[in-house]
Amino acid sequence: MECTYARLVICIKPVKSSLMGKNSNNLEDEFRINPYELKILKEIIALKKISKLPFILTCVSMGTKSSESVLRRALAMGADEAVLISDSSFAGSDTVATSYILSKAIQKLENVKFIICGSRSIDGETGQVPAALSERIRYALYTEVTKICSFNENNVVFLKDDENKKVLHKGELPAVISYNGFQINDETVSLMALKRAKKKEIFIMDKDDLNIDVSRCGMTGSKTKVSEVRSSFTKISGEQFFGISDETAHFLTDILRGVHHD
Amino acid sequence: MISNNSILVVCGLNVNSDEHTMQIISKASELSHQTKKQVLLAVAGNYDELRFRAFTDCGADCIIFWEYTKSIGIMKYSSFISAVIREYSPEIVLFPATESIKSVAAIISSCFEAGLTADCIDIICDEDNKFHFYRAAVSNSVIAKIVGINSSLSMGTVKEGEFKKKTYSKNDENDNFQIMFYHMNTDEIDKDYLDDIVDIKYREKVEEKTNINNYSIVFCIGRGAEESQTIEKIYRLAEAYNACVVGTKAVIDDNILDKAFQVGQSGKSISPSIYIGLGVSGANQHIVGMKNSQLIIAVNHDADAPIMKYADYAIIDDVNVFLDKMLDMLVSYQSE
Repeated sequence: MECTYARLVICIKPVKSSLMGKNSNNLEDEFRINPYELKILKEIIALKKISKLPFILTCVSMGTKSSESVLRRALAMGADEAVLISDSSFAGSDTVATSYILSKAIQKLENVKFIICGSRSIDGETGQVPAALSERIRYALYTEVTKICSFNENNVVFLKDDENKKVLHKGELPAVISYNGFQINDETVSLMALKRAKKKEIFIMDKDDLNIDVSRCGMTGSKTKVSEVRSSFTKISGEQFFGISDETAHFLTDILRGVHHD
Repeated sequence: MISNNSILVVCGLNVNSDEHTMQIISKASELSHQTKKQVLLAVAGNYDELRFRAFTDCGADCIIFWEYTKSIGIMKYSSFISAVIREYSPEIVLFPATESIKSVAAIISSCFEAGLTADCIDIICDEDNKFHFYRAAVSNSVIAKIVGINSSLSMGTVKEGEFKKKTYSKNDENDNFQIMFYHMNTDEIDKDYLDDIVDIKYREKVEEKTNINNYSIVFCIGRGAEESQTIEKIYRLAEAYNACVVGTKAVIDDNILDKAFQVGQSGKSISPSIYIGLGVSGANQHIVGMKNSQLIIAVNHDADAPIMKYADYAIIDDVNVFLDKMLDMLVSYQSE
């Protein structure tokens, strides 16, 4: 996709609404924006408004057609364009395959200066994609970023957690940022904004658009495979007490005080 | 001599994570006894014989050392680890899951197209000498057994506290200390932009983060103990026993405790002497973070809560009743 302005891409992972727990207020959608990306998306949109920098904010998601609602929401919040990477051959991709597919999409989008990913998703929890992606497209990688303060065509200034202190850094672009911060609650967007977002086009990219090697995608391209699942942990030796009697309380207090019974 | 198909352990970036590295070496060593594979350790930094000896005492057969006195960032370290993998062709690579080393692991996985399992809770070797990684799957509450496919290299990251550090007494002190000095061609390190990043301003955080791994007694708040009165009682009891108060993901999500105190898959793994779960139901994602505790006490009014099956002592009662009783007991002890 041609673009005269520099692009800033936020990679949004669609996560199942059911994982968002009791804070969900938008239950009709099957997927939601991963909380890490939700927070940074909000911050970047605010930053874009203040700075008036001429760049295009593109949100990219990978998933089935039903994850379109996630991108629709991102558009309503203020993103300029949305791209859904979707192909049946991409299903079941692990982090190796996912980072390959994403790298192909980034190459397809022109003039991408800056990519932001949440440091992890609340469903996969691997936290591997940002670094794996940066390696594939040979961009710089900045991790543990807790705030993006400003940026221009060449640099980005950001706060980074470094053990017990926060350090303000300036790094060169192009770069991939792994952002560590999250918010559970959805942003309220106005009905008007949602309506406008519905009129916008969501660009779909499939395996042909990306000119991709299918053998490196999905289950076939993955380098890990779940061979077995175990339902839960159990320990047989445990002892049960129904109600807390004086005797039990005594016994536990002794344990806590380091006086062990045999 | 170093043979191929060894187990490579990647050392943490700084000395602070040595305990963590040693836990992983101990696990690797256990696997090596079973498979007769060598355990290699890749270290970069300053030469420190005492430090290296501590690593070999845990079971590292050989240390591959790159002497580099300047500061090392993610990119430089990744270049070094890539070079080591190319040179020695290990069969599996294990990384400590610290923030920076996690990125190193992901970069290496892209470089070598190798499978990477995040936050393994166990690693086993089957009868065909194939390695399997266990990890908690978040979305559907199961433990997944993961195997590397389509690649000769498989890798995993391991959280701190997942495995126990073991030291082995050696009969002959000099016999097992092997160190290979690795000479990195500095031209290979073209990707050092991250490491030369400019720090423009420092801001110290006001409060020092408590390390929940430093406590031998831990009280864990679950969603069943979120009321402020209950929490106040928990803190009183915890203070009396010099215990740390931690929480499950639900409690962190509800803003009751800081993220640094979260135990479980998306938080920290702990292995205290005593763990007391209060109103914790015991989803798998939480159990993986505390399963290595020496003694597990669970208090919940629901006898069917999953944690009850995993506790050494399961107390089926209201959390508040339990706390009141324990506080009373404390008073009577203190007045003795």
